[in-house]
Amino acid sequence: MLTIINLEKFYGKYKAVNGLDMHLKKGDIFGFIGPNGAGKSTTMKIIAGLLPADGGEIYVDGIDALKDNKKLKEKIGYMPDFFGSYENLKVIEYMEFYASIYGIVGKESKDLIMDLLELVNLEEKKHAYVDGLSRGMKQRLCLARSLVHNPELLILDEPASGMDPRSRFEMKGILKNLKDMDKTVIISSHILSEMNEICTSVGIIEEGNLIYSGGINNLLSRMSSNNPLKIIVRDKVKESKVILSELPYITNIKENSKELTVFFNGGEIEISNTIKALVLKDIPIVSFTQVSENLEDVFIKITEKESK
Amino acid sequence: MKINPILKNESKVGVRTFRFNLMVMLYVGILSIVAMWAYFIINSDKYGMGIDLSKFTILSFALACGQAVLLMFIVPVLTATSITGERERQTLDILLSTNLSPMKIVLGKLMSTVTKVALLIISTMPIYAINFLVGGTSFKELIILTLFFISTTIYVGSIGIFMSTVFKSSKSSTVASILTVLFIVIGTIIIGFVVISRDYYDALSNNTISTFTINLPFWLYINPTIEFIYILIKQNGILYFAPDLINYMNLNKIFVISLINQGIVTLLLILLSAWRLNPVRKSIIKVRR
Repeated sequence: MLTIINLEKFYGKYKAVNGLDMHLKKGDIFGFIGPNGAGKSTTMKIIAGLLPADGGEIYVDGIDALKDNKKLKEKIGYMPDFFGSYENLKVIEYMEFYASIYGIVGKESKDLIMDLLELVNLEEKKHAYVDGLSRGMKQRLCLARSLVHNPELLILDEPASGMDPRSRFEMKGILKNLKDMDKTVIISSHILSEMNEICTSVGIIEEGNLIYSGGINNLLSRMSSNNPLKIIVRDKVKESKVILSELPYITNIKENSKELTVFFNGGEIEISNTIKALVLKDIPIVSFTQVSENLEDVFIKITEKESK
Repeated sequence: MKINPILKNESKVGVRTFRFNLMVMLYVGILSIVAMWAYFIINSDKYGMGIDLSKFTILSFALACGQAVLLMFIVPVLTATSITGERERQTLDILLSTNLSPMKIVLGKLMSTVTKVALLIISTMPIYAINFLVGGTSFKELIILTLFFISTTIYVGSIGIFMSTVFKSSKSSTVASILTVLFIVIGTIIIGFVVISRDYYDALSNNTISTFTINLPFWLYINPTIEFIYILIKQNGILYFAPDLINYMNLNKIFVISLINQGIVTLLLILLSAWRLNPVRKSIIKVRR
């Protein structure tokens, strides 16, 4: 559905996007993660035909997006990170306006608008003025607007930014519906726990470089491979500590009452050997886990450099 | 017929605002004051036989001038905020991400201004009705004058829209548009008057005045005042406001050339505006990195 090859974008001499490659299949929900100014919005705007690229190629459903802007716009729906609207416009008029841009008018337009408002749970607000809607409602309306021409690819820039937890929950539900509708979606967000639940794959961008692109589970296990082990024992804490310290791959052990935090070098073999060593010495293990990381932790780790 | 979605939306929503209604009220109000003032002049000149009805041409002249002056300020303000307004409301990216071409956006904005101006002109018809009563203006003359205002609105509007694509904020583009329009309407006339007067007095001093004809500098043809004066002379025959120099001009020729010139400038500005609005436009100068 979407193929990006060696995409480049400069702002003056600053390279905002540096040789970005990406490939999305139909139905993929791709989460774009990165700190502010990493190049997420720039990349999304280039895909949406709102910024010219300085190098590379983009294909959306076989269309050369950098050359055929008109055909591209039939295929994509874009939702910016800020909701803008006109004064004195009602929800239904807002939708009618954008439907008319795509030549959808009359009964067809009315039926479509009602379906879309239902999808984003705004059917009861159809006669309300857009200005009077809450931020969450405006964001949902903007999403409905981006779907008006039934695009194949949806580009959502921070769709949940500034929303309260309730609105975020609703937005998550809508995105799940889009997933069921087999839409291909690129979504950037800082609410990573939600990305974790919705996205089929993620891309981490930093200083214009896509430093990771792939499945979320793969990323989490890769980032967690060297995470410490947390072992809780019923008793024999000192004995456990001695046994563990004799293992060559253990680098450090921290003790907190009956809980031991064990730092090590290695992978699954070393983890199983650790359990084996403790069990063979009859250590009463209550709990044995490797500290896992969620997407948020990964994001923090990656962006640590920037905050320093 | 498929109506431009921008035109349709702005025609519906734009006229709902308090601002627009206030503008109509002020517009009609100011023109009413102009009409009352002109009527006062006509009335103050009456003799025992009553009001000299032929002087009602003053009223139509005053109304036309009042309308022209008001539109000279209103049209740049309406159009100069068209694109910058979209940018400030953060709706421009949404519009550009749809399959609406930059040209359609520019034309939609321009046409919506023309619609608003047409509404303003129509709302002043009751004032013109005073003239119909006594024969100061014929309906045909009113139509011609309205068509002139509409064509000038398109011309001045294209300047406003172009400025709106050049500047980022509405304030800057409005100021730039008004200054540009003032320069075109008043500035070029002053410069042109100085240049032509110099030639005229040269001809007088060289005793070649009998063969003297005025050739307007090419840049003066961008001034819509020329057509306006032409229409006023044709309709009212009022020449007392015009300098003697006007007798040395071929007004018919000047009128046609002005119309053509302003048409070309309008077209160029519309094309340039659409080009500037295109987010993925090709750069004229290729920057090497």
